Amino acid sequence: MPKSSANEPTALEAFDPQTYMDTVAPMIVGAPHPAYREGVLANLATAHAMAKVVFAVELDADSCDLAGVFMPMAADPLTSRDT
Amino acid sequence: MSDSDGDTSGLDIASAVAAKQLSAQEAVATCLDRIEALNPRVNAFTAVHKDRALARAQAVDQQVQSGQQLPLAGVPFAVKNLFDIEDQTTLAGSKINQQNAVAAADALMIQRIEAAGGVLVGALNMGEFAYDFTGENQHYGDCRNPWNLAHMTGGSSSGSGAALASGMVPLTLGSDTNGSIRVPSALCGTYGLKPTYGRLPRTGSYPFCDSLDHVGPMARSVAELAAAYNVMQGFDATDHVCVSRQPDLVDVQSIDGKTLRIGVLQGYFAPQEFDEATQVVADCAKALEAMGVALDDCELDLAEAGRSAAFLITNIEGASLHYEKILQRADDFDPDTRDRFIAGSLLPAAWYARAQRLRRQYAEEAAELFRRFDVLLAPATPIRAPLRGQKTMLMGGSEVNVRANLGYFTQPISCIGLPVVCAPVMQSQFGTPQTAQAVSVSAATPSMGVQIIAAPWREDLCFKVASLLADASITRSEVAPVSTQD
Repeated sequence: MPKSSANEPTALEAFDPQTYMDTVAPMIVGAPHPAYREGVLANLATAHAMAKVVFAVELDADSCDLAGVFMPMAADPLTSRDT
Repeated sequence: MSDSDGDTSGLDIASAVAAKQLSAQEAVATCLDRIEALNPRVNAFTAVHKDRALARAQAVDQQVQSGQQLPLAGVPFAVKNLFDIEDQTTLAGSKINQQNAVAAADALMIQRIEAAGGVLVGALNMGEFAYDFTGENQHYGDCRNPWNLAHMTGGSSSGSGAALASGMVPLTLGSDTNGSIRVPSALCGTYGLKPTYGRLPRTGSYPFCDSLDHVGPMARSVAELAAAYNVMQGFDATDHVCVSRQPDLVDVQSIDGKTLRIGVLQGYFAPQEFDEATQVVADCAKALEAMGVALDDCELDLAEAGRSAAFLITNIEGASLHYEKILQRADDFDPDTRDRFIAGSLLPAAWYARAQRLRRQYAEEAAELFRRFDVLLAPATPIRAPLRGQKTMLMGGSEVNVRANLGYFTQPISCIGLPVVCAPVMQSQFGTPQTAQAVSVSAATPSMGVQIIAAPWREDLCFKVASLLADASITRSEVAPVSTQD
Protein backbone atom coordinates (compact mmCIF):
# COMPACT_ATOMS: atom_id res chain seq x y z
CA MET A 1 0.00 0.00 0.00
CA PRO A 2 1.51 3.37 -0.96
CA LYS A 3 2.13 5.87 1.78
CA SER A 4 -0.11 8.90 1.47
CA SER A 5 0.86 12.49 2.02
CA ALA A 6 -1.14 14.76 4.29
CA ASN A 7 -2.62 16.56 1.29
CA GLU A 8 -4.04 13.49 -0.39
CA PRO A 9 -7.64 12.52 0.33
CA THR A 10 -8.12 9.44 2.43
CA ALA A 11 -9.46 6.39 0.66
CA LEU A 12 -12.84 7.03 2.23
CA GLU A 13 -12.92 10.62 1.03
CA ALA A 14 -11.86 9.51 -2.42
CA PHE A 15 -14.73 7.06 -2.69
CA ASP A 16 -16.80 7.97 -5.72
CA PRO A 17 -20.10 6.06 -6.00
CA GLN A 18 -20.21 6.04 -9.78
CA THR A 19 -16.61 4.96 -10.27
CA TYR A 20 -17.01 2.36 -7.56
CA MET A 21 -20.22 0.96 -9.01
CA ASP A 22 -18.87 0.78 -12.54
CA THR A 23 -15.70 -0.92 -11.33
CA VAL A 24 -17.04 -3.31 -8.73
CA ALA A 25 -20.58 -4.20 -9.79
CA PRO A 26 -19.59 -6.21 -12.91
CA MET A 27 -17.57 -8.53 -10.67
CA ILE A 28 -20.26 -8.97 -8.01
CA VAL A 29 -23.78 -8.49 -9.34
CA GLY A 30 -23.14 -7.56 -12.96
CA ALA A 31 -23.45 -4.08 -14.36
CA PRO A 32 -26.73 -2.68 -13.07
CA HIS A 33 -29.52 -2.28 -15.60
CA PRO A 34 -29.70 1.34 -16.76
CA ALA A 35 -33.03 1.69 -15.03
CA TYR A 36 -31.45 0.73 -11.71
CA ARG A 37 -28.37 2.95 -11.88
CA GLU A 38 -29.80 6.09 -10.35
CA GLY A 39 -31.24 4.26 -7.35
CA VAL A 40 -28.11 2.23 -6.77
CA LEU A 41 -25.91 5.30 -6.99
CA ALA A 42 -28.11 7.17 -4.54
CA ASN A 43 -27.84 4.30 -2.09
CA LEU A 44 -24.09 4.03 -2.51
CA ALA A 45 -23.83 7.75 -1.80
CA THR A 46 -25.91 7.36 1.35
CA ALA A 47 -23.86 4.37 2.47
CA HIS A 48 -20.70 6.38 1.88
CA ALA A 49 -22.02 9.20 4.03
CA MET A 50 -22.84 6.68 6.76
CA ALA A 51 -19.40 5.07 6.50
CA LYS A 52 -17.73 8.45 6.97
CA VAL A 53 -19.62 8.91 10.23
CA VAL A 54 -18.68 5.43 11.40
CA PHE A 55 -15.00 5.79 10.52
CA ALA A 56 -14.83 9.19 12.18
CA VAL A 57 -15.15 7.46 15.55
CA GLU A 58 -11.83 6.45 17.02
CA LEU A 59 -12.32 2.96 18.37
CA ASP A 60 -10.75 1.69 21.55
CA ALA A 61 -8.05 -0.83 20.85
CA ASP A 62 -9.90 -3.56 22.70
CA SER A 63 -13.28 -2.74 21.21
CA CYS A 64 -13.15 -5.38 18.59
CA ASP A 65 -15.85 -7.99 19.02
CA LEU A 66 -18.12 -8.50 16.07
CA ALA A 67 -21.79 -9.30 16.51
CA GLY A 68 -22.84 -12.74 17.55
CA VAL A 69 -23.60 -13.78 14.02
CA PHE A 70 -22.29 -17.25 14.56
CA MET A 71 -22.87 -19.61 17.44
CA PRO A 72 -21.40 -23.11 17.60
CA MET A 73 -24.12 -25.72 17.66
CA ALA A 74 -24.02 -28.70 19.93
CA ALA A 75 -23.57 -32.00 18.14
CA ASP A 76 -26.01 -34.81 18.50
CA PRO A 77 -25.07 -37.03 21.43
CA LEU A 78 -22.06 -39.16 20.64
CA THR A 79 -22.78 -42.77 19.97
CA SER A 80 -20.44 -45.68 20.46
CA ARG A 81 -17.47 -44.27 18.58
CA ASP A 82 -15.05 -44.95 21.45
CA THR A 83 -16.17 -48.46 22.21
CA MET B 1 -70.37 -7.33 25.15
CA SER B 2 -70.55 -5.41 21.87
CA ASP B 3 -67.45 -4.29 20.03
CA SER B 4 -68.87 -2.69 16.95
CA ASP B 5 -66.44 0.23 17.36
CA GLY B 6 -63.49 -2.09 17.76
CA ASP B 7 -62.31 -0.37 20.92
CA THR B 8 -62.85 -3.20 23.40
CA SER B 9 -59.57 -4.09 25.02
CA GLY B 10 -58.16 -7.54 24.51
CA LEU B 11 -57.96 -7.98 28.27
CA ASP B 12 -61.67 -7.13 28.62
CA ILE B 13 -62.39 -9.77 25.99
CA ALA B 14 -60.25 -12.28 27.89
CA SER B 15 -61.99 -11.47 31.18
CA ALA B 16 -65.43 -11.80 29.62
CA VAL B 17 -64.54 -15.10 27.96
CA ALA B 18 -63.03 -16.43 31.19
CA ALA B 19 -66.20 -15.40 33.05
CA LYS B 20 -68.30 -17.05 30.32
CA GLN B 21 -70.05 -13.76 29.63
CA LEU B 22 -68.79 -13.88 26.07
CA SER B 23 -67.65 -16.80 23.98
CA ALA B 24 -64.40 -16.75 22.08
CA GLN B 25 -66.42 -17.60 19.00
CA GLU B 26 -68.53 -14.45 19.44
CA ALA B 27 -65.45 -12.32 20.01
CA VAL B 28 -63.76 -13.67 16.91
CA ALA B 29 -66.90 -13.40 14.76
CA THR B 30 -67.24 -9.71 15.71
CA CYS B 31 -63.59 -9.17 14.88
CA LEU B 32 -63.94 -10.88 11.49
CA ASP B 33 -66.96 -8.73 10.66
CA ARG B 34 -65.03 -5.60 11.43
CA ILE B 35 -62.09 -6.72 9.31
CA GLU B 36 -64.43 -7.45 6.42
CA ALA B 37 -65.97 -3.99 6.71
CA LEU B 38 -62.79 -1.96 7.14
CA ASN B 39 -59.96 -3.78 5.47
CA PRO B 40 -60.89 -2.76 1.92
CA ARG B 41 -60.24 0.83 3.06
CA VAL B 42 -57.22 0.34 5.28
CA ASN B 43 -55.49 -2.58 3.53
CA ALA B 44 -53.95 -3.83 6.76
CA PHE B 45 -54.60 -7.54 6.13
CA THR B 46 -53.13 -9.55 3.29
CA ALA B 47 -54.93 -12.72 4.40
CA VAL B 48 -57.80 -13.48 6.75
CA HIS B 49 -57.90 -17.04 8.07
CA LYS B 50 -61.55 -17.23 8.98
CA ASP B 51 -61.98 -20.99 9.18
CA ARG B 52 -58.86 -21.46 11.24
CA ALA B 53 -59.87 -18.63 13.58
CA LEU B 54 -63.37 -19.94 14.17
CA ALA B 55 -62.09 -23.45 14.80
CA ARG B 56 -59.49 -22.15 17.21
CA ALA B 57 -62.10 -20.00 18.99
CA GLN B 58 -64.29 -23.06 19.43
CA ALA B 59 -61.34 -24.90 20.97
CA VAL B 60 -60.71 -21.98 23.35
CA ASP B 61 -64.34 -22.08 24.46
CA GLN B 62 -63.96 -25.77 25.20
CA GLN B 63 -60.78 -25.10 27.17
CA VAL B 64 -62.55 -22.43 29.22
CA GLN B 65 -65.50 -24.73 29.80
CA SER B 66 -63.10 -27.36 31.11
CA GLY B 67 -61.72 -24.88 33.63
CA GLN B 68 -58.43 -23.88 32.01
CA GLN B 69 -57.08 -20.44 32.91
CA LEU B 70 -56.03 -18.62 29.75
CA PRO B 71 -54.70 -15.06 30.11
CA LEU B 72 -55.59 -14.17 26.52
CA ALA B 73 -58.74 -16.30 26.21
CA GLY B 74 -60.51 -15.47 22.97
CA VAL B 75 -58.32 -12.47 22.14
CA PRO B 76 -58.15 -12.09 18.36
CA PHE B 77 -54.71 -11.18 17.07
CA ALA B 78 -52.94 -10.88 13.75
CA VAL B 79 -49.32 -11.02 12.65
CA LYS B 80 -47.07 -9.24 10.19
CA ASN B 81 -46.86 -11.52 7.21
CA LEU B 82 -43.26 -12.47 7.88
CA PHE B 83 -44.38 -14.80 10.70
CA ASP B 84 -44.91 -18.37 9.54
CA ILE B 85 -48.52 -19.55 9.59
CA GLU B 86 -48.96 -23.27 9.14
CA ASP B 87 -49.99 -24.25 5.59
CA GLN B 88 -49.57 -20.67 4.36
CA THR B 89 -46.78 -19.12 2.34
CA THR B 90 -44.76 -16.57 4.31
CA LEU B 91 -44.70 -13.55 2.04
CA ALA B 92 -42.58 -11.07 4.00
CA GLY B 93 -44.28 -8.41 1.91
CA SER B 94 -42.74 -9.69 -1.30
CA LYS B 95 -43.84 -11.03 -4.64
CA ILE B 96 -40.80 -13.27 -4.79
CA ASN B 97 -41.79 -15.35 -1.77
CA GLN B 98 -45.14 -16.25 -3.34
CA GLN B 99 -43.35 -19.23 -4.92
CA ASN B 100 -42.04 -20.54 -1.62
CA ALA B 101 -43.43 -23.67 -0.02
CA VAL B 102 -46.04 -23.25 2.67
CA ALA B 103 -44.89 -23.12 6.28
CA ALA B 104 -44.81 -26.44 8.11
CA ALA B 105 -45.70 -24.88 11.46
CA ASP B 106 -46.73 -21.64 13.09
CA ALA B 107 -44.04 -19.25 14.22
CA LEU B 108 -43.16 -19.77 17.87
CA MET B 109 -44.67 -16.42 18.90
CA ILE B 110 -48.01 -17.45 17.36
CA GLN B 111 -47.84 -20.77 19.17
CA ARG B 112 -47.21 -19.08 22.50
CA ILE B 113 -50.02 -16.55 22.13
CA GLU B 114 -52.45 -19.24 21.04
CA ALA B 115 -51.34 -21.40 23.97
CA ALA B 116 -52.43 -18.48 26.16
CA GLY B 117 -55.85 -18.44 24.52
CA GLY B 118 -55.29 -15.99 21.68
CA VAL B 119 -56.89 -16.61 18.30
CA LEU B 120 -54.96 -15.84 15.12
CA VAL B 121 -57.26 -14.21 12.57
CA GLY B 122 -54.88 -13.32 9.78
CA ALA B 123 -51.67 -11.99 8.27
CA LEU B 124 -50.83 -8.32 7.96
CA ASN B 125 -49.41 -6.10 5.27
CA MET B 126 -45.79 -4.96 5.56
CA GLY B 127 -42.99 -3.30 3.65
CA GLU B 128 -41.18 -5.62 1.28
CA PHE B 129 -38.71 -7.86 3.16
CA ALA B 130 -39.10 -5.46 6.13
CA TYR B 131 -36.79 -2.93 4.46
CA ASP B 132 -39.14 -0.01 4.90
CA PHE B 133 -40.26 2.78 7.21
CA THR B 134 -43.25 3.96 5.13
CA GLY B 135 -45.90 1.21 4.93
CA GLU B 136 -45.96 1.43 1.16
CA ASN B 137 -45.96 -1.81 -0.79
CA GLN B 138 -45.92 -2.07 -4.56
CA HIS B 139 -47.11 -5.68 -4.62
CA TYR B 140 -49.99 -5.68 -2.13
CA GLY B 141 -50.89 -2.01 -2.09
CA ASP B 142 -50.01 0.62 0.46
CA CYS B 143 -51.27 0.13 3.97
CA ARG B 144 -53.26 3.26 4.86
CA ASN B 145 -53.19 5.22 8.07
CA PRO B 146 -56.62 4.82 9.71
CA TRP B 147 -56.49 8.42 10.93
CA ASN B 148 -56.26 9.66 7.37
CA LEU B 149 -56.16 7.17 4.53
CA ALA B 150 -54.05 9.48 2.37
CA HIS B 151 -51.18 9.17 4.83
CA MET B 152 -48.51 6.60 5.57
CA THR B 153 -48.83 4.14 8.41
CA GLY B 154 -45.10 3.91 8.85
CA GLY B 155 -43.37 0.59 8.47
CA SER B 156 -42.35 -1.94 8.03
CA SER B 157 -44.96 -3.38 10.46
CA SER B 158 -47.55 -1.26 8.69
CA GLY B 159 -50.52 -3.59 8.93
CA SER B 160 -49.71 -4.26 12.58
CA GLY B 161 -50.18 -0.57 13.37
CA ALA B 162 -53.14 0.03 11.09
CA ALA B 163 -55.10 -3.05 12.21
CA LEU B 164 -54.85 -1.82 15.81
CA ALA B 165 -55.59 1.83 15.09
CA SER B 166 -58.68 0.91 13.08
CA GLY B 167 -59.92 -1.42 15.82
CA MET B 168 -59.83 -4.52 13.66
CA VAL B 169 -57.92 -6.45 16.32
CA PRO B 170 -56.70 -5.62 19.84
CA LEU B 171 -53.29 -7.26 19.48
CA THR B 172 -50.73 -7.64 16.70
CA LEU B 173 -47.18 -8.85 16.27
CA GLY B 174 -44.49 -7.04 14.36
CA SER B 175 -40.77 -7.08 13.83
CA ASP B 176 -38.25 -4.32 14.36
CA THR B 177 -34.78 -4.18 12.83
CA ASN B 178 -34.29 -0.42 12.83
CA GLY B 179 -37.65 0.89 14.02
CA SER B 180 -40.26 -1.21 12.23
CA ILE B 181 -42.44 -1.62 15.33
CA ARG B 182 -41.82 1.84 16.75
CA VAL B 183 -42.36 3.92 13.60
CA PRO B 184 -45.85 2.53 12.80
CA SER B 185 -46.71 2.60 16.50
CA ALA B 186 -45.95 6.31 16.57
CA LEU B 187 -47.64 7.19 13.29
CA CYS B 188 -50.76 5.07 13.88
CA GLY B 189 -51.05 5.93 17.57
CA THR B 190 -50.46 2.54 19.21
CA TYR B 191 -48.12 1.04 21.78
CA GLY B 192 -45.26 -1.14 20.63
CA LEU B 193 -42.52 -3.09 22.36
CA LYS B 194 -39.12 -3.66 20.84
CA PRO B 195 -37.61 -5.95 23.43
CA THR B 196 -33.94 -6.44 24.24
CA TYR B 197 -32.10 -8.08 21.36
CA GLY B 198 -32.14 -11.79 22.11
CA ARG B 199 -35.12 -11.67 24.47
CA LEU B 200 -37.92 -13.01 22.24
CA PRO B 201 -37.10 -15.87 19.89
CA ARG B 202 -37.53 -15.12 16.23
CA THR B 203 -38.15 -18.76 15.42
CA GLY B 204 -40.42 -19.10 12.41
CA SER B 205 -40.15 -15.51 11.29
CA TYR B 206 -38.65 -14.50 7.96
CA PRO B 207 -35.28 -12.82 8.58
CA PHE B 208 -33.98 -9.52 7.33
CA CYS B 209 -30.79 -8.64 9.19
CA ASP B 210 -29.70 -11.20 11.75
CA SER B 211 -27.56 -8.78 13.75
CA LEU B 212 -30.50 -6.44 14.37
CA ASP B 213 -33.79 -8.33 13.95
CA HIS B 214 -36.25 -8.33 16.86
CA VAL B 215 -39.88 -9.41 17.15
CA GLY B 216 -42.42 -7.87 19.48
CA PRO B 217 -46.05 -7.11 20.30
CA MET B 218 -48.18 -4.05 19.53
CA ALA B 219 -51.41 -3.08 21.28
CA ARG B 220 -53.64 -0.17 22.28
CA SER B 221 -52.76 -0.17 25.97
CA VAL B 222 -49.77 -0.79 28.20
CA ALA B 223 -51.61 -3.58 29.99
CA GLU B 224 -52.38 -5.46 26.76
CA LEU B 225 -48.81 -4.98 25.57
CA ALA B 226 -47.49 -6.39 28.85
CA ALA B 227 -49.91 -9.32 28.80
CA ALA B 228 -48.75 -10.30 25.32
CA TYR B 229 -45.09 -9.80 26.20
CA ASN B 230 -45.43 -12.01 29.27
CA VAL B 231 -46.71 -15.00 27.31
CA MET B 232 -44.24 -14.47 24.45
CA GLN B 233 -41.16 -14.81 26.67
CA GLY B 234 -39.04 -17.90 27.06
CA PHE B 235 -35.82 -19.31 25.67
CA ASP B 236 -35.75 -21.15 22.37
CA ALA B 237 -32.47 -22.60 21.16
CA THR B 238 -33.59 -22.54 17.54
CA ASP B 239 -32.88 -18.82 17.41
CA HIS B 240 -29.13 -18.62 17.88
CA VAL B 241 -29.24 -15.14 19.42
CA CYS B 242 -31.99 -15.94 21.91
CA VAL B 243 -30.56 -15.74 25.41
CA SER B 244 -31.41 -18.39 27.97
CA ARG B 245 -33.18 -16.46 30.72
CA GLN B 246 -36.19 -17.03 32.87
CA PRO B 247 -39.12 -14.88 31.76
CA ASP B 248 -39.17 -11.50 33.50
CA LEU B 249 -42.90 -11.10 33.89
CA VAL B 250 -44.25 -7.57 33.93
CA ASP B 251 -47.04 -6.59 36.31
CA VAL B 252 -48.17 -3.10 35.43
CA GLN B 253 -50.39 -2.95 38.51
CA SER B 254 -47.53 -3.15 40.98
CA ILE B 255 -45.55 -0.21 39.83
CA ASP B 256 -43.81 2.43 41.88
CA GLY B 257 -42.15 4.68 39.41
CA LYS B 258 -41.49 7.56 41.76
CA THR B 259 -37.94 6.48 42.51
CA LEU B 260 -36.93 6.30 38.89
CA ARG B 261 -34.21 8.48 37.40
CA ILE B 262 -35.03 9.52 33.87
CA GLY B 263 -32.72 10.99 31.27
CA VAL B 264 -34.13 13.12 28.46
CA LEU B 265 -31.92 12.57 25.44
CA GLN B 266 -30.65 15.77 23.84
CA GLY B 267 -28.17 16.40 21.05
CA TYR B 268 -28.85 14.00 18.19
CA PHE B 269 -32.32 13.33 19.61
CA ALA B 270 -33.39 16.98 19.87
CA PRO B 271 -32.75 18.71 16.56
CA GLN B 272 -34.37 22.13 16.33
CA GLU B 273 -36.16 21.48 13.06
CA PHE B 274 -38.24 18.70 14.60
CA ASP B 275 -39.64 20.77 17.39
CA GLU B 276 -42.95 18.93 17.39
CA ALA B 277 -41.17 15.63 18.04
CA THR B 278 -39.04 17.13 20.80
CA GLN B 279 -42.12 18.80 22.28
CA VAL B 280 -43.73 15.37 22.64
CA VAL B 281 -40.78 14.26 24.74
CA ALA B 282 -40.72 17.50 26.72
CA ASP B 283 -44.40 17.10 27.58
CA CYS B 284 -43.81 13.54 28.78
CA ALA B 285 -40.82 14.68 30.85
CA LYS B 286 -42.81 17.52 32.38
CA ALA B 287 -45.60 15.16 33.38
CA LEU B 288 -43.17 12.73 34.96
CA GLU B 289 -41.44 15.51 36.85
CA ALA B 290 -44.79 16.61 38.21
CA MET B 291 -45.21 13.08 39.59
CA GLY B 292 -41.96 13.43 41.50
CA VAL B 293 -39.73 11.48 39.14
CA ALA B 294 -36.12 12.72 38.95
CA LEU B 295 -35.21 14.02 35.51
CA ASP B 296 -32.14 15.40 33.82
CA ASP B 297 -30.94 16.01 30.29
CA CYS B 298 -28.32 13.68 28.83
CA GLU B 299 -26.69 12.73 25.56
CA LEU B 300 -25.53 9.64 23.70
CA ASP B 301 -22.51 10.97 21.84
CA LEU B 302 -22.28 7.97 19.54
CA ALA B 303 -25.94 7.96 18.52
CA GLU B 304 -25.30 9.29 15.02
CA ALA B 305 -22.44 6.86 14.50
CA GLY B 306 -24.64 4.07 15.83
CA ARG B 307 -27.37 4.98 13.42
CA SER B 308 -24.85 4.97 10.58
CA ALA B 309 -23.49 1.61 11.69
CA ALA B 310 -27.01 0.17 11.77
CA PHE B 311 -27.60 1.48 8.26
CA LEU B 312 -24.49 -0.25 6.90
CA ILE B 313 -25.06 -3.52 8.76
CA THR B 314 -28.68 -3.67 7.58
CA ASN B 315 -27.82 -2.83 4.00
CA ILE B 316 -25.07 -5.40 3.78
CA GLU B 317 -26.72 -8.28 5.68
CA GLY B 318 -30.05 -7.73 3.90
CA ALA B 319 -28.32 -7.67 0.53
CA SER B 320 -26.46 -10.85 1.38
CA LEU B 321 -29.69 -12.61 2.30
CA HIS B 322 -31.26 -11.72 -1.04
CA TYR B 323 -28.14 -11.91 -3.23
CA GLU B 324 -29.25 -14.79 -5.47
CA LYS B 325 -32.69 -13.25 -5.96
CA ILE B 326 -31.11 -9.95 -6.93
CA LEU B 327 -29.11 -11.79 -9.58
CA GLN B 328 -32.03 -13.81 -10.88
CA ARG B 329 -35.22 -11.83 -10.28
CA ALA B 330 -34.29 -8.19 -9.82
CA ASP B 331 -37.44 -6.97 -11.55
CA ASP B 332 -39.65 -8.82 -9.09
CA PHE B 333 -38.49 -6.59 -6.23
CA ASP B 334 -39.99 -3.26 -5.36
CA PRO B 335 -37.56 -0.85 -7.09
CA ASP B 336 -36.67 0.91 -3.84
CA THR B 337 -35.79 -2.38 -2.17
CA ARG B 338 -33.96 -3.70 -5.22
CA ASP B 339 -31.69 -0.69 -5.61
CA ARG B 340 -30.73 -0.78 -1.94
CA PHE B 341 -29.97 -4.49 -2.07
CA ILE B 342 -27.83 -4.05 -5.18
CA ALA B 343 -25.92 -1.26 -3.47
CA GLY B 344 -25.60 -3.33 -0.31
CA SER B 345 -24.14 -6.21 -2.29
CA LEU B 346 -21.29 -3.98 -3.38
CA LEU B 347 -20.24 -2.38 -0.11
CA PRO B 348 -16.75 -3.13 1.23
CA ALA B 349 -16.31 -5.69 3.98
CA ALA B 350 -14.19 -3.15 5.84
CA TRP B 351 -17.22 -0.91 6.25
CA TYR B 352 -19.29 -3.75 7.64
CA ALA B 353 -16.64 -4.89 10.11
CA ARG B 354 -16.04 -1.35 11.30
CA ALA B 355 -19.76 -0.81 11.80
CA GLN B 356 -20.00 -3.97 13.89
CA ARG B 357 -16.97 -2.99 15.97
CA LEU B 358 -18.45 0.40 16.67
CA ARG B 359 -21.51 -1.17 18.28
CA ARG B 360 -19.46 -2.41 21.23
CA GLN B 361 -18.05 1.02 22.00
CA TYR B 362 -21.47 2.59 21.59
CA ALA B 363 -23.08 -0.03 23.84
CA GLU B 364 -20.46 0.74 26.49
CA GLU B 365 -21.31 4.43 26.27
CA ALA B 366 -24.99 3.58 26.77
CA ALA B 367 -24.14 1.30 29.70
CA GLU B 368 -22.32 4.20 31.34
CA LEU B 369 -25.40 6.37 30.88
CA PHE B 370 -27.56 3.71 32.52
CA ARG B 371 -25.43 4.05 35.67
CA ARG B 372 -27.01 7.50 36.01
CA PHE B 373 -30.47 6.83 34.61
CA ASP B 374 -32.99 4.01 34.75
CA VAL B 375 -34.83 5.11 31.64
CA LEU B 376 -34.13 7.40 28.69
CA LEU B 377 -36.72 9.31 26.68
CA ALA B 378 -36.45 10.18 22.98
CA PRO B 379 -38.83 10.95 20.12
CA ALA B 380 -39.97 8.06 17.95
CA THR B 381 -40.27 9.80 14.59
CA PRO B 382 -39.13 13.22 13.36
CA ILE B 383 -42.55 14.13 11.96
CA ARG B 384 -46.13 12.91 11.88
CA ALA B 385 -47.25 10.53 9.14
CA PRO B 386 -46.22 11.84 5.71
CA LEU B 387 -48.53 11.57 2.75
CA ARG B 388 -48.40 8.26 0.92
CA GLY B 389 -46.09 8.73 -2.02
CA GLN B 390 -44.18 11.54 -0.33
CA LYS B 391 -40.51 10.96 -1.15
CA THR B 392 -38.68 13.64 0.78
CA MET B 393 -38.80 15.61 4.00
CA LEU B 394 -36.81 18.54 5.30
CA MET B 395 -33.92 17.87 7.65
CA GLY B 396 -31.22 20.36 8.53
CA GLY B 397 -32.38 22.62 5.74
CA SER B 398 -32.04 19.91 3.12
CA GLU B 399 -34.53 17.60 1.50
CA VAL B 400 -33.81 14.05 2.60
CA ASN B 401 -35.37 10.72 1.78
CA VAL B 402 -38.48 9.95 3.84
CA ARG B 403 -38.02 6.21 3.52
CA ALA B 404 -34.63 6.30 5.22
CA ASN B 405 -35.23 9.04 7.75
CA LEU B 406 -38.50 8.15 9.44
CA GLY B 407 -36.27 5.88 11.49
CA TYR B 408 -33.84 8.64 12.36
CA PHE B 409 -34.59 8.39 16.10
CA THR B 410 -35.27 4.66 16.32
CA GLN B 411 -32.28 3.30 14.44
CA PRO B 412 -29.60 4.31 16.99
CA ILE B 413 -31.48 2.54 19.79
CA SER B 414 -32.00 -0.83 18.13
CA CYS B 415 -28.38 -0.70 16.92
CA ILE B 416 -27.34 -1.74 20.43
CA GLY B 417 -30.37 -3.86 21.23
CA LEU B 418 -31.87 -1.73 24.00
CA PRO B 419 -35.49 -2.45 25.01
CA VAL B 420 -38.00 0.24 24.10
CA VAL B 421 -41.68 0.78 24.65
CA CYS B 422 -42.98 3.23 22.05
CA ALA B 423 -45.97 5.09 23.46
CA PRO B 424 -48.37 7.24 21.43
CA VAL B 425 -49.02 10.91 22.12
CA MET B 426 -52.07 12.36 20.42
CA GLN B 427 -52.39 15.77 18.80
CA SER B 428 -54.48 17.49 21.45
CA GLN B 429 -51.76 16.88 23.98
CA PHE B 430 -48.96 18.89 22.48
CA GLY B 431 -48.43 22.34 21.09
CA THR B 432 -48.98 23.87 17.72
CA PRO B 433 -46.23 22.89 15.31
CA GLN B 434 -43.82 25.66 14.45
CA THR B 435 -41.92 24.63 11.36
CA ALA B 436 -43.17 24.71 7.82
CA GLN B 437 -42.60 21.07 7.20
CA ALA B 438 -44.37 20.11 10.40
CA VAL B 439 -47.31 22.29 9.44
CA SER B 440 -47.51 20.58 6.08
CA VAL B 441 -48.33 17.27 7.69
CA SER B 442 -49.81 18.28 11.00
CA ALA B 443 -53.47 18.49 10.13
CA ALA B 444 -53.93 15.01 8.86
CA THR B 445 -52.83 12.50 11.48
CA PRO B 446 -52.83 13.14 15.21
CA SER B 447 -50.19 10.90 16.65
CA MET B 448 -46.49 10.87 17.31
CA GLY B 449 -44.58 8.72 19.73
CA VAL B 450 -42.12 8.73 22.58
CA GLN B 451 -39.47 6.06 22.97
CA ILE B 452 -39.11 4.85 26.55
CA ILE B 453 -35.70 3.17 26.60
CA ALA B 454 -34.01 1.08 29.27
CA ALA B 455 -30.83 -0.91 29.77
CA PRO B 456 -30.74 -4.42 28.28
CA TRP B 457 -33.16 -6.84 29.98
CA ARG B 458 -34.98 -4.05 31.83
CA GLU B 459 -38.20 -4.01 29.82
CA ASP B 460 -39.94 -3.76 33.19
CA LEU B 461 -38.66 -0.20 33.56
CA CYS B 462 -39.97 0.73 30.11
CA PHE B 463 -43.36 -0.59 31.16
CA LYS B 464 -43.20 1.32 34.45
CA VAL B 465 -42.72 4.65 32.75
CA ALA B 466 -45.23 3.82 30.03
CA SER B 467 -47.79 3.05 32.73
CA LEU B 468 -47.12 6.31 34.55
CA LEU B 469 -47.60 8.30 31.36
CA ALA B 470 -50.73 6.36 30.41
CA ASP B 471 -52.24 6.70 33.87
CA ALA B 472 -51.73 10.45 33.59
CA SER B 473 -53.34 10.38 30.12
CA ILE B 474 -50.19 11.84 28.59
CA THR B 475 -49.96 8.88 26.24
CA ARG B 476 -53.03 7.12 24.94
CA SER B 477 -54.14 5.04 22.01
CA GLU B 478 -57.55 5.40 20.43
CA VAL B 479 -59.45 3.68 17.66
CA ALA B 480 -59.58 5.90 14.58
CA PRO B 481 -63.03 6.59 13.14
CA VAL B 482 -62.47 4.94 9.78
CA SER B 483 -65.35 5.48 7.39
CA THR B 484 -66.49 2.53 5.34
CA GLN B 485 -67.59 4.98 2.63
CA ASP B 486 -65.55 7.03 0.16
